[in-house]
Amino acid sequence: MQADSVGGITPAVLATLKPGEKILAAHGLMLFKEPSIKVGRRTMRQLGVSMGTYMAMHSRGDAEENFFFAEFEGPGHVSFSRDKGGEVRVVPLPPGQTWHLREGHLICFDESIRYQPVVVAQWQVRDANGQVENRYLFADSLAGPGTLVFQAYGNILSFNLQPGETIRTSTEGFLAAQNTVGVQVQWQFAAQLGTGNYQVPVLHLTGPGQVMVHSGL
Amino acid sequence: MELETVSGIVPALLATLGPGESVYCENGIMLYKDTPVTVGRKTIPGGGLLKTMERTTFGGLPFFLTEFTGPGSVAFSRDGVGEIRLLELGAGEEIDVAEGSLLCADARVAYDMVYVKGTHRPGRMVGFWMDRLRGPGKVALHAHGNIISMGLDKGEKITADFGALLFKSGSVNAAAFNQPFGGGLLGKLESFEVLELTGPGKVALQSIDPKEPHY
Repeated sequence: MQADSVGGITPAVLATLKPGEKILAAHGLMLFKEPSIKVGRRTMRQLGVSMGTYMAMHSRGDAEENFFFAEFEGPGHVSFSRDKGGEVRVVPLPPGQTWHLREGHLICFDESIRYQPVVVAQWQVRDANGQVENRYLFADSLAGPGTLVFQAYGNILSFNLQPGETIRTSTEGFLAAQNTVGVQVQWQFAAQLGTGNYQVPVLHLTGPGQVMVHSGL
Repeated sequence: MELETVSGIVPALLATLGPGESVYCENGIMLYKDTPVTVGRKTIPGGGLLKTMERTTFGGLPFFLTEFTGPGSVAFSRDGVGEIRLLELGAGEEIDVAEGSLLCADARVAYDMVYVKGTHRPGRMVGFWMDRLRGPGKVALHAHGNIISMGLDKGEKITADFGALLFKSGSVNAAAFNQPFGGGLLGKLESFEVLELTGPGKVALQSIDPKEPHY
């Protein structure tokens, strides 16, 4: 797949497909396509996602898991948009390289990429009634080879972490990371409120590997 | 009359009107105007009460248009992230503009509405209305997001999302249909509604669907 970003503030992606070439995209993102592009459907089972994995994601409640992906087969052009402002990134994944991309940001990917929904991190918060609630950072795991296209909300800041090197980001700031990057949630003091401390969850991302953080929420 | 884009992330349009010159727009999108600019109402002809109720309640078209007459300046904004496109329509040239996208048009531009039928199934049971503008005159449009423009030859087709269409030439045919997910009964049952646009003419698409929540 040849993928190009079109436009600035709210970019679209123009994918150019050769005859027989297939890409997968979340349903509902298509802007336009040429008539020569065939549309199909690829279920989670066809992608190798087991029912157990799927139900485990579903049981956590907040996941916006896909039931299936729309499949587009060339030759021709097809364009996608996430209807939001932010930078689009086209990443060629070499064989064996795996990225964890925050859910809701995937635009399209080559059919050669292996897909799996994952939970990158989890933590607990207390609601106003003192009840403990689980929070999860859901992500799409994508393993090369192939081309991966996704969109950030806002601008992307990229880091290449050395082994043992750590950066901290807010839980909302996380966009993507290689699977070699360790992700851990720690609580950080934010303010003194009355007799208690107000703490916020902070993601600690530890290398080696590449990390992307985005400036929007 | 001069139309000028005040560019930026949420762009505005500045119309500078000579004495007696007029532009019209939907009510509620004016940013500011000079004091000498007078405000009037332009009624939309045609269709009678039921047709008017249909296009204003089912569709998002206005009951009436607001007309501004110079001398002076008046500015408009659609309050959204996007791009403004200025068009100069030739005599008799027609374009169909997605509802909620017209910023303003020269008083010489004839205004009408056109209905694109739906697929008669849940999701797109009824169709939608577009503003039909016929030249000569100047027109300013607001695209939500970025604009992707193309020209279609006679009989050339593209398939587009409903929310993606910004404007098309009057000669471009728009028809709603169900795009199946592959073959078989299941593929047909799980089809989704799209627009088939058939040339000849110009088509412009926008990268944000204005009906979807966005920021």
